[in-house]
Amino acid sequence: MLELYHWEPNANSGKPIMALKEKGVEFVSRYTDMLNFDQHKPEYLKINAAGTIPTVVHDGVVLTESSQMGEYVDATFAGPPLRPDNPVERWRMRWWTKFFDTFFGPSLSMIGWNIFVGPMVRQKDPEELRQAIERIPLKERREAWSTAIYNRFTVEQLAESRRRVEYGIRVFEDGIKARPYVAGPTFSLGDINVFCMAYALPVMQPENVNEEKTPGIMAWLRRLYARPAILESFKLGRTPMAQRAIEVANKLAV
Amino acid sequence: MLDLYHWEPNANSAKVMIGLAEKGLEFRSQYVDLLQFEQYLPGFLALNPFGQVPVLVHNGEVITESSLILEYLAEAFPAQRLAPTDPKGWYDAQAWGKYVDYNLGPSVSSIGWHQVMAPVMKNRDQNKLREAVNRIPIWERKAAWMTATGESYPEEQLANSRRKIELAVKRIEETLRRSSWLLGADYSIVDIGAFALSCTLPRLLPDVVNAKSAPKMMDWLARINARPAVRKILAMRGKAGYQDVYAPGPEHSRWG
Repeated sequence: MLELYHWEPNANSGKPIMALKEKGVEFVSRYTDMLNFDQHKPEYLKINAAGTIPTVVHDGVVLTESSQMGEYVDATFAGPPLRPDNPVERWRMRWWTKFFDTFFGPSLSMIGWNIFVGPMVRQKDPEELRQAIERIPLKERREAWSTAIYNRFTVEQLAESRRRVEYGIRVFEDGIKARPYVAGPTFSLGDINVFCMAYALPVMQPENVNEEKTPGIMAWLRRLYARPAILESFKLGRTPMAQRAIEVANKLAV
Repeated sequence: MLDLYHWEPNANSAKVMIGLAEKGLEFRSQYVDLLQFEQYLPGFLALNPFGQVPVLVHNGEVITESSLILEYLAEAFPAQRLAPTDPKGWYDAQAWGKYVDYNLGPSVSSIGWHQVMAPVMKNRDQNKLREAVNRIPIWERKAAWMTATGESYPEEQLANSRRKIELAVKRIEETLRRSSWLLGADYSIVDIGAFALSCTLPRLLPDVVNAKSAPKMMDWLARINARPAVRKILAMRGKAGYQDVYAPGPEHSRWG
């Protein structure tokens, strides 16, 4: 049996959801409400001591690195291959995954917390919030969560995040113009990992991601939104985040 | 044909140099002098627009990011894989690679630069140095070098770096209490990557990594250090001679 502890089909949680759906693997969905801090509760910390989401539990094997879960799924189960055979294409799949994980993702999520997620969380009871933060296991993680929850980003940090997102979009446009999918001629885990960060860009960053400025990204998004497994994945969402995906699909007229 | 663009056999450059040597793969060494900013010259940027070493060129294909190069070599040269083939083992190799890259990479670089290199750089012509830094065409890298060659790093960043190193050392030590190598019974690309980022720690932070505080790790470092492939690579020291060297490394996570 494979159990997946996940939040919304977005960012890190989206990666294993979409990999499992694309591979055609049945799994038990354990929705873990990140904004209710379910991931820092004792019962969850028994499964994943770092208190991060998502977590895969498969026949006693526990996986906590979202970007690498797909490789495990692809190598373990029967179904359509999600990794190219060619080593250069595999490298390219991982390179884009890392670029989005380390450069693009953290900046996009800072903007996301600033304008979208933060206000949602701050509607909670302040005392409850304070206690939730105290339960976070690692000092660095506690500080990062406090900064995000109380919107303590500096003007400079937010400006730098916007600059990185704009620059990252240009880098991705140049890369995806050259080939239909992230790794090369075929769909792969690289597309899933990037898509989980980029699926809402035409509505989050309409001035930077549109038909005129980024035709390559728009065409690639259309290819991804046309996949039944991707659309199926968004059905696991319970907040307005997943609705953004429908908005984008409509905008792209998929 | 394999060409490797690298700096001294340290950190991320050493990772790939040792990986190639352990696999018995001959490569043409292309030395890039980071302290002379050669990684930002147009010829190198045409290979890697991010201005980072190492860069592997294999039959015309440009492969970057040191841990991803090790994974590439495992798959492109499977006869000497130096990595597990089973799905969980491969996941563990990737997860370890990521862990040491995120936690040791930036932290060892920050402390190493601050303690060892910053005083050395003060001896250079400061006007010329500033001009060279101002010419760096990549925004993040220019900012990193400005800090490194200016006031160096704030106390808070150095303290955080030290904390991350202590946690990583603890994790390595605990793992080596259970098995000879980080992934179990076999020497792998994880040992190579972790060694390349941690082999100077007994000199850089002797109070953190020593025979009393981290006996298993000290023994593991010595075992890797004695391997013929590692000896061969460490003997390739270039302009920096036999001293430990550091460069402003990969960024710390922007989320702490």
